[in-house]
Amino acid sequence: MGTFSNLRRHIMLTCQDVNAFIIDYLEDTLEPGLRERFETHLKRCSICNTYFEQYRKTIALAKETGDTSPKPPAEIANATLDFLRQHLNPDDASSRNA
Amino acid sequence: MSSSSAHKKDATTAAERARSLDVAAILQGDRHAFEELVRVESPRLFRVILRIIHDEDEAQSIMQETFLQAYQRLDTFRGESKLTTWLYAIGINLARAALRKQRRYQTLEEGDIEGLQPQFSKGMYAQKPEAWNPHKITEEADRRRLVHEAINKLPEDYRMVILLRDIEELSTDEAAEILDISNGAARVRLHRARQALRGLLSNHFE
Repeated sequence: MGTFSNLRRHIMLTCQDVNAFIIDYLEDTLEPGLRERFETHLKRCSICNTYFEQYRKTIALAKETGDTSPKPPAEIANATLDFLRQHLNPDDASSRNA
Repeated sequence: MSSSSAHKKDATTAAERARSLDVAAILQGDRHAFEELVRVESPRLFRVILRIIHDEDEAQSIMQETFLQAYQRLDTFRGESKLTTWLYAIGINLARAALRKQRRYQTLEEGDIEGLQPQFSKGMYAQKPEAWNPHKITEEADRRRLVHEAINKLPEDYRMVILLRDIEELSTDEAAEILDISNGAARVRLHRARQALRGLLSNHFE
């Protein structure tokens, strides 16, 4: 088992491996040895590097769309509180607090 | 202040207020504590629901129903997740149910999503990814519209995970909890969704 693990640590990752590990790399959940092999592959492989940068750009572009979300109506919380006062049974809170 | 920095400041303020919520009092049915939850979470919850439902009046109505159901079902909250994660799960499920009734958007099929994943031959990319042309992605308004449209083309399950993880920046655990799937399933879905979105954007940016 240990020998197999040592062997794996030194085998180069394929492009397919690197692709499968992208999400773990970005979430920082790769164990250090694998992270190093991932980064080494990216430095040496322009195809994976291009794909990885586009993957990261895709996340950034998705995030950017959130910055232009319509502003909620100013009185949205008060309108919700009015709605709740109309729809909640007055006994509801007292029965919970009893 | 740019819209982006204003958004970040609002998010920071909301996060600070969310940390000060008295969850124990809320769970006891204390109406004042619950009102504070409504004040703190309404803007963000409205925004998330609006991104699913695309109709302001309906989004507001679903949000109100979310808080009503949450209050009435507080005794079902088991404390295994954050209270806000549980609240968002209620809201998102209501919004998805409403969306299924609307069926307003034509989205891609699972087979299309598979076609947007990279293919490999002997461990290498079967097709080399073309570089994106920086001149095609510099017009901000166009860029945001294209990305928005591309996200809306994704099937609902994929759109949801992008919304929660990449736009709302929830953790993968929180997104998984809201979508009622395992962390592993959420990661697989997120990876496929991002790769599909990248593929759709490549049509515009290469």
